[in-house]
Amino acid sequence: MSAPPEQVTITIDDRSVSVPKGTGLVESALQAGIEIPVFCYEPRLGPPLGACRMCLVEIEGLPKLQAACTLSAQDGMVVRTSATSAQAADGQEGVLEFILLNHPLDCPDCDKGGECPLQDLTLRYGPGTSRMVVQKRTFDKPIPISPLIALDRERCILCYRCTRFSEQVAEDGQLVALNRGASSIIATFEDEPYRAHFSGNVIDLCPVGALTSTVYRFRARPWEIQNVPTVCAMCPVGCNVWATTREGKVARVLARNHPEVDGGWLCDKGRFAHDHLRAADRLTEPIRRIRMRGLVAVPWEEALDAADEGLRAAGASVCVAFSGGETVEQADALSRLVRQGLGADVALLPDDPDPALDAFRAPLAAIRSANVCLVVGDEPVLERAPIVDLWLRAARRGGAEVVTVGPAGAIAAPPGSAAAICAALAASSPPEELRELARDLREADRVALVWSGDDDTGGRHLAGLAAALELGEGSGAYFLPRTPNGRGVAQAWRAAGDGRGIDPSGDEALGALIVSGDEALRDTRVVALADRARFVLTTAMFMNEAAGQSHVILPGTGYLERDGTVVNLEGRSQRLRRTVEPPGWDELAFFAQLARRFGVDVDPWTRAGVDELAALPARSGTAPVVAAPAARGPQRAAGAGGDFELVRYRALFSGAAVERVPQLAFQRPAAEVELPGGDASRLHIATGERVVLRSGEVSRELAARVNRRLAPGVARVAEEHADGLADSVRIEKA
Amino acid sequence: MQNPFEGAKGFAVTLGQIFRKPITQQYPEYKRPVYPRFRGRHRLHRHENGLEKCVGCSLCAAACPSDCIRVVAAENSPGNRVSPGERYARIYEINLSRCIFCGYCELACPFDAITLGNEFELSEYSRDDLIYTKDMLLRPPTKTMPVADRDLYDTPDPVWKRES
Amino acid sequence: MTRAAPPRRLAELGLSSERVLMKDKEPGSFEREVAELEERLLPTTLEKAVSWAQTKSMWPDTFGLACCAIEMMSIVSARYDIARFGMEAFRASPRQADLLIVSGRVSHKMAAPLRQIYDQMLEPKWVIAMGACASSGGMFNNYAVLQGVDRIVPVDIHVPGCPPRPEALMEGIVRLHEKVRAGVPPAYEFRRVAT
Repeated sequence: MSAPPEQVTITIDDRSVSVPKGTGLVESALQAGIEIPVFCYEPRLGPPLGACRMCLVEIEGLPKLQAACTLSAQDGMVVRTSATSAQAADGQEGVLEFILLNHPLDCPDCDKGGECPLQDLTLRYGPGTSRMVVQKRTFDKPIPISPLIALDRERCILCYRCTRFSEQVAEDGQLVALNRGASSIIATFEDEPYRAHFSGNVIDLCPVGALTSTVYRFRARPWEIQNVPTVCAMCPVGCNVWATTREGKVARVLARNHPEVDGGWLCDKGRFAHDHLRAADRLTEPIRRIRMRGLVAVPWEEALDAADEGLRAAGASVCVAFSGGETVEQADALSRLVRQGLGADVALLPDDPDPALDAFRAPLAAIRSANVCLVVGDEPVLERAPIVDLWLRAARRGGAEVVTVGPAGAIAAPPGSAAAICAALAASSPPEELRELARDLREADRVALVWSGDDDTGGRHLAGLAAALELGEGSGAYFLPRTPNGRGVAQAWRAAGDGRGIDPSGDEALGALIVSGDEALRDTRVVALADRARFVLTTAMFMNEAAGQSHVILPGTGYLERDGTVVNLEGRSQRLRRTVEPPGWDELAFFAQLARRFGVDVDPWTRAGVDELAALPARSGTAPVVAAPAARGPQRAAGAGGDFELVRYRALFSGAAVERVPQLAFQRPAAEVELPGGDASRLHIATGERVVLRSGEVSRELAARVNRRLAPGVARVAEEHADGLADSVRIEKA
Repeated sequence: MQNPFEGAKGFAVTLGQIFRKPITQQYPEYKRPVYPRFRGRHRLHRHENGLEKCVGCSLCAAACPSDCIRVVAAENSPGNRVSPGERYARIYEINLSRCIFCGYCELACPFDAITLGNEFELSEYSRDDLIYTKDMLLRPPTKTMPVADRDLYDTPDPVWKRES
Repeated sequence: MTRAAPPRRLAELGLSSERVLMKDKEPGSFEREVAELEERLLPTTLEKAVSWAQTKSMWPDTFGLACCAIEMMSIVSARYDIARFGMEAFRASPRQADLLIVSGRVSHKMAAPLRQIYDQMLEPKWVIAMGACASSGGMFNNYAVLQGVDRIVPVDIHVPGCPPRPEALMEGIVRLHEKVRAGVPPAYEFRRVAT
């Protein structure tokens, strides 16, 4: 880093304040305790635009009013805001009058009414009455620019916050301003829906009610709601959110800025998937399998007795399958029940991040200031931990070198080779194609390593690479778990005993299987285990075929109904707060009672003690074991004929929660297969054409999409469309 | 010792009252007209075209000091147009057993959709029956009250309307 | 002493509260509540005589709690003169009272004496919850105030208002008389309260 920037002293409203040179006037005024009102200004959206002119101030020496957001502090500057300058006050009043010329006065109708910056600022700075006598401009309204967002062009004040987000932050470029001058309007291209992972953020950004959420539409007004500060547990990022409740139901989820974790952004899954809590098919009562009667709803106490009986009969032959969405407290209760109460020591962990990674913790915001970012693994970062993708984009805009190594990366690598690449980069003499990258990584000041692979040993390899690169402060290694709290669950399981989280293979009968959560039910390994188990205890929010095999099914809770701790991909413990009441007991209460029957004392309450904006724990842990260089995966033949290696990825918009929110249906992955450009042209397949994927007896017909970044011989399909296909498929035109 | 004539004075007053007309109101048979501004049972109003004036903005609920109004809004659709704007009140309930008849809801309403009438005969046999739903508030009251002459007791231009 | 077929709606029995009079609407909560008592609703001649006597000398208990009590007191005064209903004798002893007018907000501390007074009254006894606070807690939705006296005593009539004007309270009394005359038993016979 360079020397600390020079301090300059400016005078704002007769108050003198000293700020680093280059600080914007709006922030400088805030430091002096003076508010300069803004609409369009938002530092997170990149350079200021000065579109709304709300921030007009008088600056001594300049003949006209200036937009404060576009100016930075200069030494000796004398600024007068509307508080002390009649000229500035008059200017701001005029600006507001102009903004309100065409803004409809339908505040009682408008969802923003009550939490609207335009309302607030008009009350404080605007004219008391309107001189507008002619008809206001009208448009059709509301226009659904996607199933999630409704656009009301009458209310739009053209601050360009939404388009700047779309162009400069999410970089999807789908929201644009059409036409010029007075007839400018916000629109999507060709009236296509705004289909992007982060589209919901424009609702937060809009300073008026022009962009509103269709899910929240007319559900509540700001004075009827309670906002609960909690954490999103839909993916391993752990974005901080406000959960808005009305009458005991979650009405919406808003971003709550944690500058180190999410920077105030939130993906659409976190924002809109909350409605699954109210799905009609949600389980609300415990269910027990009774001989000759099938599955019967029973009281909680009876379910507890049945679970007790089933586990006692199983003895120590018990396996627990975690789904990775549990809180640390739930995982701890379950782990201690199994390890200390039952004496069993077998678990299926969804993720197993290596503890050595704790030595390379860094806040996610550190990615933005990294010089070199390396992404390894088969899964798209956007699908696994979407906010990390935003940080990588911010790093790239800041001039960092962002290199992806994988089947769809800048450096092509065969699927499943992420661990080998880490090992190769850590080695003293990396192979030819990685040599330049290895040099850059070693020479860079600040490095961000992101693992998005599918290999359970990945954490160790990533830590090995981090150790070899001697990552210091400002650099970090980020292992992206598959599941929201995979890191916390693995920690809890390890802490509850001395054994290992092992994968129970073999085919001897199992005494009992505890399936914790819906995600675990989707795991084919768990389904196979359930066939071998004499007693299956399941907690699930939704009934499905796999859950139907269980002997006792407990209604599960969603993350908004839990109190507890979750550990995100950085290793940061964050507090989940109960936002709404679950339909019955929560899992923690049940397993704490069950554990007590087996002589293990588990606290059924969450031990508080995590701050609302949790800090990242200091780096800890021993120097990691440098992984033995794993052999590089066999370089498979590149698509001879029509043979492709199939890469599946778990799409962000998939899973039990997303499936139950009809508004999110358009975000779910399309039934298509991505094919590399070279292979597609050789097979004469164009985007949109139907192709058939065959492996053995299984065949699936999907639409083709040509992706020129994909490595030759690799085809990529979302997991939900690759059902039953083997790793190697034959693709031909339908 | 008090002056004995003091007591006689008192009886004289009593005696005088005998020849006055009794002031007792025969309530259930005779109902004294209430003042025009008397605030009684609420009413919701419709536009002349039959659409409801209420758009479900919940401002009345915000203004209500005893929190007795519950509004749940929904969106008008071409097949189900209830109010002129985009939204309408799908549920509009006033819990009259909590209501203190302060009239703030009337003041808060931007569309003059809710007003307080003059009817006070609202006793109910059950607490739940005092929760007035939207259809009950939209209908005219069954028992009407006589109202005193507006010209005598009501100023034509209320202060709060003049100054807004 | 045969009874006629019970009426389908209470309004036909002479009950005339606002909700009961909305005959085009489905039966309200009270009508559904007393539907099971239907065979008792049409009183026999003897019962009619008894209930007539009850309505003509229903002595209230002096139980003034707050601002509503001022209005309650005024119904005894010359202008409203509740003696016309045979109710002028406000009794300070619950044993001599038939009607408990809970006039005002009941704090949790006052709840026990209220219940004790109610228990000391002799049957048949009736309760009027006068005003918003007694009916539901009113605007005092807080830790100190009982959210409606119907949680501790069975209430026959709820009179809304803050406070109800004397005529409104008298209307409540008239409604109670209608109820007694129609043969609807006092609320404690069919309504459960928390004990």
